[in-house]
Amino acid sequence: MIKLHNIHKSYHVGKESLHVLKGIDLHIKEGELVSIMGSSGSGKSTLLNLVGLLDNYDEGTYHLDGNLMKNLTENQAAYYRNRFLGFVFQSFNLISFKNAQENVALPLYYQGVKREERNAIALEYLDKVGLKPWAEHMPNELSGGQKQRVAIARALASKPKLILADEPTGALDTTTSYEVMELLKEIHHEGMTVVIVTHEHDIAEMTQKVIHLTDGIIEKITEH
Amino acid sequence: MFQSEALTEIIDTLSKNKLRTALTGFAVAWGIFIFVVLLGMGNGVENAMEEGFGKDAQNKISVSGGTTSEEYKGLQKGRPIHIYNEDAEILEEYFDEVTGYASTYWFGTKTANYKDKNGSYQTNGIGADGLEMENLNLLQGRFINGLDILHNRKVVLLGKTPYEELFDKDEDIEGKYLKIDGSSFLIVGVIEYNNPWENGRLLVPISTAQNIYNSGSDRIHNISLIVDADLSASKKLENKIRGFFGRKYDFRKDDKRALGVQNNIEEYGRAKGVIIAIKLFVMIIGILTLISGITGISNIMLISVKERTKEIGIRKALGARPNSIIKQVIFESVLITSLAGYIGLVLGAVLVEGINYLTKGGDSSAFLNPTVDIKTAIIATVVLIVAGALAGWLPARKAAKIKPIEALRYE
Ligand SMILES: Nc1ncnc2c1ncn2[C@@H]1O[C@H](COP(=O)(O)OP(=O)(O)OP(=O)(O)O)[C@@H](O)[C@H]1O
Ligand SMILES: [Mg+2]
Repeated sequence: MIKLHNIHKSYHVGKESLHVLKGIDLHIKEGELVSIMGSSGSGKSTLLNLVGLLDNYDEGTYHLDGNLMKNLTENQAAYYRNRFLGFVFQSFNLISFKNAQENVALPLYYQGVKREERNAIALEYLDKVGLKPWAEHMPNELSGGQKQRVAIARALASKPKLILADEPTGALDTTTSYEVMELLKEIHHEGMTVVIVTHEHDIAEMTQKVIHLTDGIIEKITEH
Repeated sequence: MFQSEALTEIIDTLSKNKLRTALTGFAVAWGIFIFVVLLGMGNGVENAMEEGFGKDAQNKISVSGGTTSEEYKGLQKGRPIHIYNEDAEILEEYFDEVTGYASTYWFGTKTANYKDKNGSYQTNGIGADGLEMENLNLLQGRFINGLDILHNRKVVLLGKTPYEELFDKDEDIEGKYLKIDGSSFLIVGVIEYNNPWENGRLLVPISTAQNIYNSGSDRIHNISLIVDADLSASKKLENKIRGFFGRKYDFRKDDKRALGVQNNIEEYGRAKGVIIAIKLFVMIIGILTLISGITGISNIMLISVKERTKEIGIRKALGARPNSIIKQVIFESVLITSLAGYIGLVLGAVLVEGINYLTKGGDSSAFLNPTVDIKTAIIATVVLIVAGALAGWLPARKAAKIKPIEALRYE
């Protein structure tokens, strides 16, 4: 599903250049549940963002489901984000003036799905994450765990090939974190490829494969 | 994508950001309000001026005798210059530009009575074609004609005011007689002038009047010439007329006070210039107001795009294409502009119509029918949509260029 070869990425701030990813080789197969571990600043988010086509890389090759992701136009990137990828962020990133159902329906809007149909689909996914009764609630009326479940429903609604989650439990307490992880595991059991960035060991323990990132390179990969 | 889907998405976004929408809208509504009111006022001033001249024929030059202010050929200054019936005839024959004339003798105020009612009215002797020349409205009967003048008939044409004061409402004047200073005149008609203050007149044939009140002298006070000439030709004619009278009655052609000449063509032209200047001024102010309105929307849209950087980032992460973001921002802008502008338009129209209503009937000379015509409305609508698109353009481009990762990081 994901094939990275010799990926390099630097950030340029003013005249200074910060080499963050220093040659990443990585293969994640379809249907895997993978976590990326590493200390703060090791480049986890950077890696996930370029896999998610939210940012671009300087060097190397990246194949997503067999397609080379290089020099994409904005429209192509939008297409892949819309059809192939589902994002879950640490800070949820729900649109504050849309209710839960409308938030979940938004990626479908960009797929050109009609309003009624996308609302129905949105409700279906809210039901899946156990939030059907909260469909009409605005994000600020939801708890952190609920928000993250809405975000997961939103990531799933567009039927992506891959879920990318950057510290999905980072803003949640332990119990809620475990609930969210249960949900992600369940999604994985249904066949979805899931990549989770975390720096919590217990969260990483719950995945099949842990990629340890240190200072921009993959130190080791452990499998459970 | 489907237009209606995009529209509902935009309306959704707008209605959930009411304060921002309202603020943006207010700037536009205000701009258009001012624009419409100014245009309406411009129309009002123009109408008032047009109307003022419409009351008096625009292709008219009137000539009246004056008093010399300079010595000439040994003649003293301060000498009155009189003009006579024949002068009008000569002018018409002599100058090609003159296509008709009317002469008037003012007899001053006379007492008129009908049955037990009486009143004092300005009484004029008038030439036959004089009535057609001015913008008069015949309410009853007929005008004074050539035969009346030829036969010195004792007939009278009533202005609206004496008619209303001496007669019952809607009373028929057919065959009735009016006594003017004791002698009976057959009433032939009732007329209404466009200038209300002219309505208090009694008109009799000039020959009759000259016979009765002026012991046979054919002196007149005023000649109105109908002239077929443009501005410069009319000025030349004015000069030639002065020359003609100067030779005939011995005064210097340049002695302006010896002969009164009022050139309506010239005055109308001058007023027209003033109107154009006023309209231009109003246009410029209106356009400047609009431009500041547009800049206002543009700025607010820019701020809103910045405020919504995160939202735009989320939308992009979910697969929004740059075009759909551009479309959204521009549509938002156009929608706010159109709706708010429409409100401004309606309020402006209401104010203008209100002023129209209040000034109606009064003799207010500055404004007349300050209306918002369909042309203005269409211009304003087009301007609104274009303005909205323009205002949205820059912010939209900015929004589309936002990189999703930077947008998501933005707090
Ligand atoms: N947009 C940016 N511009 C400049 N430097 C950046 C940018 N984004 C990240 N960095 C730097 O790149 C390095 C890696 O950042 P990254 O966010 O990938 O770390 P991370 O592993 O996700 O850390 P954390 O666990 O704290 O989230 C850090 O040193 C960070 O300061
Ligand atoms: Mg991170």
